[in-house]
Amino acid sequence: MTEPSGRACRDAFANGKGGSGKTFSVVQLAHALARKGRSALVVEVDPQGDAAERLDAGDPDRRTMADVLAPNDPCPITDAITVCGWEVPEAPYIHVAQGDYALEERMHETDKPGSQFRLRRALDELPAGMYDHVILNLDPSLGHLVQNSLAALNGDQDRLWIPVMPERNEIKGGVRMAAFASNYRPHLMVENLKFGGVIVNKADMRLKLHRQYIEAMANTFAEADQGKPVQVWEHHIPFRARLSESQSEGMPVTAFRPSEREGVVEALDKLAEVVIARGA
Amino acid sequence: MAPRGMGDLNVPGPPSLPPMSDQSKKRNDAQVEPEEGHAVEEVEQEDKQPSRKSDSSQSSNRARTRARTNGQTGRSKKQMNPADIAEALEESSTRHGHPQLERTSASHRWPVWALEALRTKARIERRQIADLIAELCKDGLADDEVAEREYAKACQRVNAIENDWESGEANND
Repeated sequence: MTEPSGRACRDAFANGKGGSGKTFSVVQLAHALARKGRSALVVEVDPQGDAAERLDAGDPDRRTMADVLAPNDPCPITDAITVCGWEVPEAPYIHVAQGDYALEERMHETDKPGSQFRLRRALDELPAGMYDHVILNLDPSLGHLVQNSLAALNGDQDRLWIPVMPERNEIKGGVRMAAFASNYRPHLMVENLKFGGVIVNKADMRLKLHRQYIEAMANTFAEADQGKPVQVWEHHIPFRARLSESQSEGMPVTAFRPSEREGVVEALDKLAEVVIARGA
Repeated sequence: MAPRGMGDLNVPGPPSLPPMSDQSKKRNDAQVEPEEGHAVEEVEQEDKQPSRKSDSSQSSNRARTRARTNGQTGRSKKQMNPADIAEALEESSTRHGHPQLERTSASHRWPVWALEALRTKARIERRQIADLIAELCKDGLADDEVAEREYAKACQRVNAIENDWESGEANND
């Protein structure tokens, strides 16, 4: 939701392991928020991220986040914003600050003073009240772009979410991300950084391994935040084979038949409700 | 006012796309147009599933995205000989240098974030190279033998990056 100052709340999705469902969560959460009449800006901070493509929002005539985060002569973030091209009524409520491979160049430009706060400064320049929510899609690392993103979560209502698949490497990546974010709060000047929670993604309850990992998930993250727990969100997003094809087709989950998306839309709607209600 | 189909929500209208700043307009105007004869647009053929969007709008959006991707890599759709392929790979892997990570002495300690950045760079490089090779073969611009040879060379460059990373970690121990 928007704070009294007009600054949109920021939710970042991060996991040190790729393929954990960050972009899926970001894209579909933006859609879930839009279905409820909330405007959302998806900010792509992953060089490999394709949020703009999945939202059918890529526009070569506009700038990208690489230009926004450039050390010399950066452009305003508004120059990198495009509009979701889905053919659904709520599409105009979803905007994207598009990214591309050129973001890799920003990963190593750390020698300039204040380089860790470029994204924070760029987001602070968004017109007040323009968006209800800003959703950050982070790259699967602990590097400079992730640090930029974490440093941008300096608002009281901002949250860090950690999507994980119920599998070993993804959970390890999630734990690592939680530890990194909690340990480096002072360095990134986000002493009040808060976790939204762990989102279990692509959960296939037919698999014994998934069931075991999910049962142990709360214990796994029990001390992830410097001895304090990071809550595992209770509404798991179930695995649906047909939805994996949606990523390349650039379609909302709601476009699929109910049997193909059973449980997914409901979980995303609940996540949207949590994001909207925060601070109310 | 909310778009049609959302009227029952009684919410304000969607945000307006902001106009480009003068700074970006000048940059756009200064960009060089592609040379005549080099096709930079292509439309992907979707034949697996019936489209849930109109074909024309989907094709136009994908064409715009594809055009931008091609523009960024600098590749044209002309026939590429092995030297061109090698040059494209070289450009891909050396474009994003990281002078800050050069070591000046054996006692220089690598910061953790620099090691992570280096490892991520190596992973991204390898994936980019694999994707580039696959695309060249798919488009018929390279045969398997050439692709395999160039991929091996590219992997050597990636291995060099990873060796640097491992040396950095060992240096920190």
